[in-house]
Amino acid sequence: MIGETSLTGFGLQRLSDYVAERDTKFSRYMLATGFVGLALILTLLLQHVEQDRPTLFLFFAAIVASAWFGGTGPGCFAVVASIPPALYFYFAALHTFAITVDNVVLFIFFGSCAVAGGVLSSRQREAEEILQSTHRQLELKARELQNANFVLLNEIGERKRTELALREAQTELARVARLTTMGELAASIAHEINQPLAAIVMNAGACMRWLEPARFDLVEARDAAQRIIRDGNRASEVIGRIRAMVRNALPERAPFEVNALVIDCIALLRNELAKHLVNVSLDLAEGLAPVRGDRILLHQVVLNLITNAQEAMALVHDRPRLLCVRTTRRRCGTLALAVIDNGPGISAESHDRIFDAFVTTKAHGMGLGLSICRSIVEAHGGTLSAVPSLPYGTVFEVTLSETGE
Amino acid sequence: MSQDDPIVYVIDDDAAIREALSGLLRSVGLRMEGFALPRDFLAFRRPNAPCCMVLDVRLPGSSGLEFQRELSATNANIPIIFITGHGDIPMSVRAMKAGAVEFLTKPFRDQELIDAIQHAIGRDRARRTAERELTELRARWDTLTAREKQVMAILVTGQLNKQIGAAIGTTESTVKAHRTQIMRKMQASSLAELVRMADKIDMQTA
Repeated sequence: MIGETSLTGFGLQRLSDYVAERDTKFSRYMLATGFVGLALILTLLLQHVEQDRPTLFLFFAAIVASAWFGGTGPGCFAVVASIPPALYFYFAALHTFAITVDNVVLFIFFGSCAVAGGVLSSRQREAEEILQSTHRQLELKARELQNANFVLLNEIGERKRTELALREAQTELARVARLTTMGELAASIAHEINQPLAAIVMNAGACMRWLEPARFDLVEARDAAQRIIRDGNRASEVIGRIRAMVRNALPERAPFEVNALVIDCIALLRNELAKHLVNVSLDLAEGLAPVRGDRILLHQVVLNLITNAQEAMALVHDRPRLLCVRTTRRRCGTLALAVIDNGPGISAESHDRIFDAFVTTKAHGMGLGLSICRSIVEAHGGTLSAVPSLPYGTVFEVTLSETGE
Repeated sequence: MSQDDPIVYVIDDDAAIREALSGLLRSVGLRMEGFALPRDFLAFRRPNAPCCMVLDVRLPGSSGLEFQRELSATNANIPIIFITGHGDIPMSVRAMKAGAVEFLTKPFRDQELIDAIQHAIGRDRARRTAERELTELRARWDTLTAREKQVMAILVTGQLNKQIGAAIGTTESTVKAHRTQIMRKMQASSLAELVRMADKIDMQTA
């Protein structure tokens, strides 16, 4: 009993490991033999001390231990091995291997209890092992999950960075696309306008010279002035042609959602707007019918209006810079798209001219943006107008027909 | 207008520009010949007068820069002033490297163009004068006999009559007679002038 206790006390784990290490059938049966032998020795010692009370419980312990450490087979083996000493020490007639008839029932009980103890023990052990292995598997799974989570977190970070880079690239693209379209148009306009302008300057120079007293020639001077008029008209025809070109050259007329277009433009310009500390609010009407037209051109118009608003608000330092894009449904199947800023607004004298070509309030503007925007919108059968926003700023409003001309 | 009056050739496909230039140049007393295309200019029989060319960089068919190359390949030697609607720096550098007088971006101030044209004509006139002088010198040199040419070649290197005589195997007095003939035929008043003439003629190649 003392030996068993000490064994279970501090040697249990080591023994388990030992058995697990040398996990052969033979070693397990040897272990069962050992337990039964130990029980026998201790029983003999106890017998020696307390002769009157024969004991069986040490054999139960040996059976349970054997079944625990060795499994069902060694457990049964321990039961069988315990029978002779039990018969010898416990069942009448004592100190023989024979058994009296009245002790048969008791012996059967002993046997049943021994088998039940062994089976329970081995089952318990199996259950415990399953539990442990499940626990280990769980731990493994948990660790895998942790790793997966770590990888996932990294991936999320990576994706966020990529998305950021993508957005920056898109903004840049939008800017370049805007500049390219404007640049190409500007270059061709520049050439077309430069020719008559150069002619006008030269004719004016000639005219001035013919009016000098030293070589006064009224006929020549008048000829030169007439050429100036002709070339001036030619320049204005060029501008008219460009407007007509923009008006007529609409390659595509497909239906598209105005709200989606607005969201697209804001997404493209988000970085630019954030950089200039512009607060954007969207007030988009629900259930708008699609508009038919050239999405790319109208995209350019909205981009242009938003950029203009942002540039106008660059001068605002004493209040938050607010940009609002609002879509509303109007009667008779039209819808309105308003870009509202709270910049300094447009002065009364420039108000009438802001849609004319080559009129600009910007330091480096060409003065073509709004003129081209209006041509594009009018080509879609819409209007583009500007009204003051109260108390500050300007409302640029585009009206377009819903699904149709 | 006399034979020696300068001519400004203008090649620009834009009639309004040609007309304006014509009016402007007339107002400063310059004669102009305008052409829409380079081949019209090439077909034109150019009088032997100081000239320059005002050339649009953007020409139908070929660029003004290409035409500049073609012209210099034919030894036309006409100073060129480029005008362009959309000049960029690399383009102007190329034009100037190829010998253009000026590169003006439209619209330019009329005085700028006139100054450039006067400068170009001045350059052409100087070149023409130098060329005419050279032709005349060559003509004088051609009147020398073979012996005299031989003496002159040594004379301009600074050798004395005696040395020349020894070099070509004749007496000092014969060399002296040759020398007098050379100075007379070449219309040189001093040896120094003769040396300068010899430099211009470049007798090695002549």
